[in-house]
Amino acid sequence: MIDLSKCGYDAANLFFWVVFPYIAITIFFIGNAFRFFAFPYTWRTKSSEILEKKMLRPASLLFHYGIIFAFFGHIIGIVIPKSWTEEMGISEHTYHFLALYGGTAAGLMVVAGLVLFIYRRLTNPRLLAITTTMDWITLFLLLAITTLGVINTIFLQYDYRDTVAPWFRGLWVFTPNYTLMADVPILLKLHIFLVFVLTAIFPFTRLVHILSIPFSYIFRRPIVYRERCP
Amino acid sequence: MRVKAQITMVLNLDKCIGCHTCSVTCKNTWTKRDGVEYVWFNNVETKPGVGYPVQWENQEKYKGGWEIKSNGKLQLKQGNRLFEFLNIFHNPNLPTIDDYYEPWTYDYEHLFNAPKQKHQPVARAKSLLTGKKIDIKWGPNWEDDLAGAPEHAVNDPNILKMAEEVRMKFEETFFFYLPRLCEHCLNPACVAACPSGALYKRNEDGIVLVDQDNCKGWRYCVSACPYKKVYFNWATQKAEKCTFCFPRIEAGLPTICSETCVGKIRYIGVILYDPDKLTELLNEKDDKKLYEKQLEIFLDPHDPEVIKQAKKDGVPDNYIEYAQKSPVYKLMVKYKVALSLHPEFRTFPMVWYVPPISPILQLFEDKNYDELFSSIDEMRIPLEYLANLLTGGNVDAIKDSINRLVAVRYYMRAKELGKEIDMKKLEEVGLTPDGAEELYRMLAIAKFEERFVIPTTRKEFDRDVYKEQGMTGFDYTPDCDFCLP
Repeated sequence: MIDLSKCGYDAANLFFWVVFPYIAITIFFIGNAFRFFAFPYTWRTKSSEILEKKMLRPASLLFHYGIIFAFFGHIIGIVIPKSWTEEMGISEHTYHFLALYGGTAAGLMVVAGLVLFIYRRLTNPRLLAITTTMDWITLFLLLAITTLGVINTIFLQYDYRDTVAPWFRGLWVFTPNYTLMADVPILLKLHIFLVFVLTAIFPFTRLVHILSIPFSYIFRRPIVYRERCP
Repeated sequence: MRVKAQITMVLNLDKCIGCHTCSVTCKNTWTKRDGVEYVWFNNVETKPGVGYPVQWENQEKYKGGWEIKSNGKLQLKQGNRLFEFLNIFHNPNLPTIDDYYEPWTYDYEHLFNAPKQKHQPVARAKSLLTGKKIDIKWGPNWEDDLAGAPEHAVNDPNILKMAEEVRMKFEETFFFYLPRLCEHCLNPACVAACPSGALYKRNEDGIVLVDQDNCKGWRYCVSACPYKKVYFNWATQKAEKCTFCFPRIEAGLPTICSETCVGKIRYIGVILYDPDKLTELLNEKDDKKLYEKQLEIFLDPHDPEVIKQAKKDGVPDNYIEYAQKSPVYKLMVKYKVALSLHPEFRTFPMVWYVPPISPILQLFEDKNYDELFSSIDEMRIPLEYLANLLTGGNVDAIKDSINRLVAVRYYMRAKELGKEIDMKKLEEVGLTPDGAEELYRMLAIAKFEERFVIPTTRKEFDRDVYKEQGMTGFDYTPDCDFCLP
């Protein structure tokens, strides 16, 4: 076996922050495309509202709105470079304030929603009967990721905008500087690692419905006519 | 003007004996699978009654169908597109399975495996959702033949809307059967509500189908349908609905529910209509006028202008020919005896009903023929009830239809018995002796070919039939629904 450290490589960091993310992203794109075109029938939200809708209301609303909020928070914090937000007139202090309170609120919404989701499925025999192993894996993985996210936001207050963010942006232009990740706190590393685990299993879970947000509904005519074999 | 063809059904409620054969054959054909045990694409309800799902006609509860907003625009009652986006994570108007019933089977195996014991073993009810033993509290046709009517039927939305009090005392009760299936509406709310565009109306025959591959399970079609005839398969998590047995229709055969109907109450045929008129007609503010408005959309298949335009719009020649001899056109438009189910939902439903007049026979025996039409007001089934069900509250339209049916009976009875016929009675309801005889033949003795006048569909020019797979409703069973990720 080649000892990469001899050549100046940090094997562990190289694996976790370059090799593994690319494997995950590759599975994500190929897996989703394959499932969408080869098994379109399996592509759905897997709604269980028909079986139980009372507890679903707080659970689903907290979870979904929380996660949408958190998603945009991550865009601002990770995807948009620090220099851009500063140029927009958002000071370090303002950013930190927004990230701390906004991020905590969104994170807690998601965690609360997930706990309710899990409780709901465990206590209702109808739901228990239709919940698949993959549903459980997805739920608990999401719970782990978001719990870690909330802990990181509240207790760590680590400045990821100089380390994690540039590394993450580098991934998408094929120049990931994994050395930036070396000194990131372990809890944040775990958060990021689990996100890529989720990315890798994403095509095989119910989460695929995220890719089908029905934007075209806004523009289409109300009544759809189709001709046979167009 | 544009011309579209629509496959249409008319049911003669006067002859429905409530045997449920249509429901059973439909179920055996389409919904004998995991996830749709509770689903009846065709079901027969006893009216008055709350129906299936419970109180489906109550749109304050389910928010199905369309309504005219204060700005005068026609909109889905459940809300606009923004509403759908904001509530996509939890649809507040979706019925739960308990609004239908919890599907069950019986533990038959126990009858064979039970150990020797003092008492006979019993096959107990077992939920098909959880596999656990359950006490059955509600089911399909729980209120068959007015069972539990004093408790349930008083909650029938059509009764709640009536000014007159309906008593549920045995001597004063009335009932009739209402077989229900998807209405394959001209303005389907389910299609308009689908965020994915998975539900569609077939251009050539107006059948409304769910593209199973496109359906993402957003659930809005289920709540948007005011007839609650789009169902959610809880195992595959996709929407399913009546397909109007399109593979049979394409072959010129009637739907399975119609073919097996014991009372021969169903008629299927083609009707031509003008889709350009939809918006204008549906914007009628008065619920009571909607039945007549819907009549205005249908086109006369003998009118040369209509035929010319139909050919221009690609309606096949055999559709035009069959539209001309369509039994449903005669019952709905020519003689106006068939009426639409809840036109006030503003979907322009295309399964119509001839109102029941059975209890009226008593009137023939007891009363003088001169009192014929005035006795209709005293019919055991209140006219207001029928009006709430079939004409959006328009009592005059119900009266006209029933008067015509009664006049046909009067005419044929007098003719058969060699009595003197008062032609004025026919003229009063706008019938000629020939018309009365045609209507009599259609309603009483029409044979298979007269009841079902269905053009075949030419598929030999279809290039890629394989592409259609999954697009036309449920067509394959995965090995295990629960194994799907």
